[in-house]
Amino acid sequence: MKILVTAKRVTDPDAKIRVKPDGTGIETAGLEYKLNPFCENAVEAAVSLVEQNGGEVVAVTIGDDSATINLRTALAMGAERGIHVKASDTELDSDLTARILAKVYEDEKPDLFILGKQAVDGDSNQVGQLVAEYLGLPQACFASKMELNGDRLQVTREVDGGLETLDLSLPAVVTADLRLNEPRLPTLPNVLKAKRKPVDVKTPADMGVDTTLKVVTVAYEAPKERAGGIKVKTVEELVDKLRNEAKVI
Amino acid sequence: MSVMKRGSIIDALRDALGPEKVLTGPADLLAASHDESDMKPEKPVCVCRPSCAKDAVAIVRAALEHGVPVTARGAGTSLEGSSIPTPNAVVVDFSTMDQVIESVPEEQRVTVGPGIVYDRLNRLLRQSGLFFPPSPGGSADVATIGGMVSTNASGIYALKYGGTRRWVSALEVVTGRGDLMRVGTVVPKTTAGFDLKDLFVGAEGCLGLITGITLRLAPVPHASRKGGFLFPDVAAACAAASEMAAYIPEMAALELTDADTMDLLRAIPSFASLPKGHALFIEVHGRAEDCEEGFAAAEDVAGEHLGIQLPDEIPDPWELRHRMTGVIREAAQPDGVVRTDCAVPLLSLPGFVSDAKKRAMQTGRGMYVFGHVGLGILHFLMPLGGTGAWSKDEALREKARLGLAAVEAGGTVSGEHGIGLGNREILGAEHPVGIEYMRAIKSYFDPANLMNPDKVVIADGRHPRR
Repeated sequence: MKILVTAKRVTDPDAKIRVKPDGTGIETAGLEYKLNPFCENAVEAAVSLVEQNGGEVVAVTIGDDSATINLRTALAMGAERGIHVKASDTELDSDLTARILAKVYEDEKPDLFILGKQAVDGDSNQVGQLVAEYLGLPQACFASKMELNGDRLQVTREVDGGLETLDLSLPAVVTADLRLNEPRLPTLPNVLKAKRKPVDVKTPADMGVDTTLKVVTVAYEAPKERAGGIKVKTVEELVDKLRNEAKVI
Repeated sequence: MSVMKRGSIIDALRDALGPEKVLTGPADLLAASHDESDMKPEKPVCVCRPSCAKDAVAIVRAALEHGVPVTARGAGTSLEGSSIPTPNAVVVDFSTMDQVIESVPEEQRVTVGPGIVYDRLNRLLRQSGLFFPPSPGGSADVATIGGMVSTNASGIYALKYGGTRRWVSALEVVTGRGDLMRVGTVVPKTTAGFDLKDLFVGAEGCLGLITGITLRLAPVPHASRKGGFLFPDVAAACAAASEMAAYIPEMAALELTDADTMDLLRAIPSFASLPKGHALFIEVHGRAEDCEEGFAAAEDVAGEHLGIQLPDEIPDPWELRHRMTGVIREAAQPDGVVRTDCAVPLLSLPGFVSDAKKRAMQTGRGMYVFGHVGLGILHFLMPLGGTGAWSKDEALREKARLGLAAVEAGGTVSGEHGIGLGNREILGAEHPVGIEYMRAIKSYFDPANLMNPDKVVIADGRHPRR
């Protein structure tokens, strides 16, 4: 089977993100990037399905030049080849991302499209659902377990208070949750192999995708800085402050 | 030496660095006053947060002008008081210099600021197939690389991969004279004169400040397998450990946990299934077939020493390892613990450990022990509160006795935590001649004796008790 899988570049989730003073974006100087953790789950799921059933995994990323580095991580984990659609984050919204990915799907015609359930930087959680809608395909979001049964796919999802198991016809769109698997670490020989695997570079314009945005980010704002605490001398003072300053009692 | 300048060190630092990098709030001073040992805290004059090497040079120069001592600080996870400020010191807190400065996976190296946290660095490196191996057992999620370099820290994987020193290839440092320099090189091998870089590794901030670190990196192992074995007595566990360490080349981690520590861990609800007995937890690294072979060899060795394999459903050994110090310190509230960091040769392990446990048992006192036993490193923890409590004086005497006994056995007083404040008395016994050379080196790098001056070696040779 042929599986298409996403490999989005995200800012290091452990880094302290600082908003630019003018609110037009975040400070990117000194920021490290890595492959979106949920995309790692997606790649792992795709690679292990292909290891068991034969086939090919194709990884796709949308991003500026440096996104190739993270696409190569997906190749080092076992994807056969990569597709890099060049566009910077400011030129994208979830809808355009979904339309680009839907076009990639149409060009590649895979049996299954696995995406990370969301990117850990933007946290929008829209793309997988939009792609399924644009393509008119069955979707199963937040997969915590996947099993291939002949030409059908059983997907278990974590829902409030329990598990839900869906039975999908293929082709289908699945988004990967954290507990789907434990992503493998790329070994050095595979990192070297990944350097030589083919990556097809395109632009949205090459692909004939309309790049009009539906959502435009107006401003970024950092949370208000917390004022330091003070020590109160008496219980009365504390009660007074809780009642009149904090207004919590 | 320069003449003392009038005006306060705080004003001088604010001028040099900008006011936002010099903290004097009560909470800032309190937070920088202690480490993870249970030694007496000491509030600093102020806390500086440099953002570059230039700031660090300015701090050292201001300290020289004002004759004020300087104590460097990473995450403050030292267990021997290394990061407890010298009285009336300026603390240099490197936590904001936490960037990856240059990552070159093609050459298996990375250059970082000293404030980057161990786990975060490895999470960033993961996808390149490389890692920085030492893995501090109890503090990987908070310990900074700067602190690990300054104490030549090790951890669970040091058995296979060595301690921090083996992976440091170059440093950018500010000496106690205020000079900024690079020591070491990014190529894997050099013979260019005396290795100054290795003087700064493990110097605990006594020679100067570290502002940049280039690390060599190891390939992530193809496969690994972990597990545990349970032994009826502690000497048998140690004898098995010494054989596993010497004869099983795949052995990456080999940790002893005595039955008393296991009892405390079992009280944690998620660890309730932990069986009774003295445990060895192991991890083997290699190709999948090497791992199977290495693990099978460990099973054989354990069996020879009447050990049984722990069921696979036991909690993750390294989660247990992470909690050990915490549960023992909790049981020893309100006064905490006195701990050792000594290391003995593998063949001395069984006798050394069982003697120490026996001595404590005869007087009804608690003596917990765990450690990277594959390297001979033993952390004996003596509770100062709770059941089996020692008086502080007795515990310190026992700590000194164990340190000296380790040295007499051919081992060392400090395997991985450093000398700090807690092991100074024994350092001279371990290196009776060498300590004079250490003092001479210290006095060249730090002629004004201001760089963390009450730690490791004391300029005038007197080791004051705190």
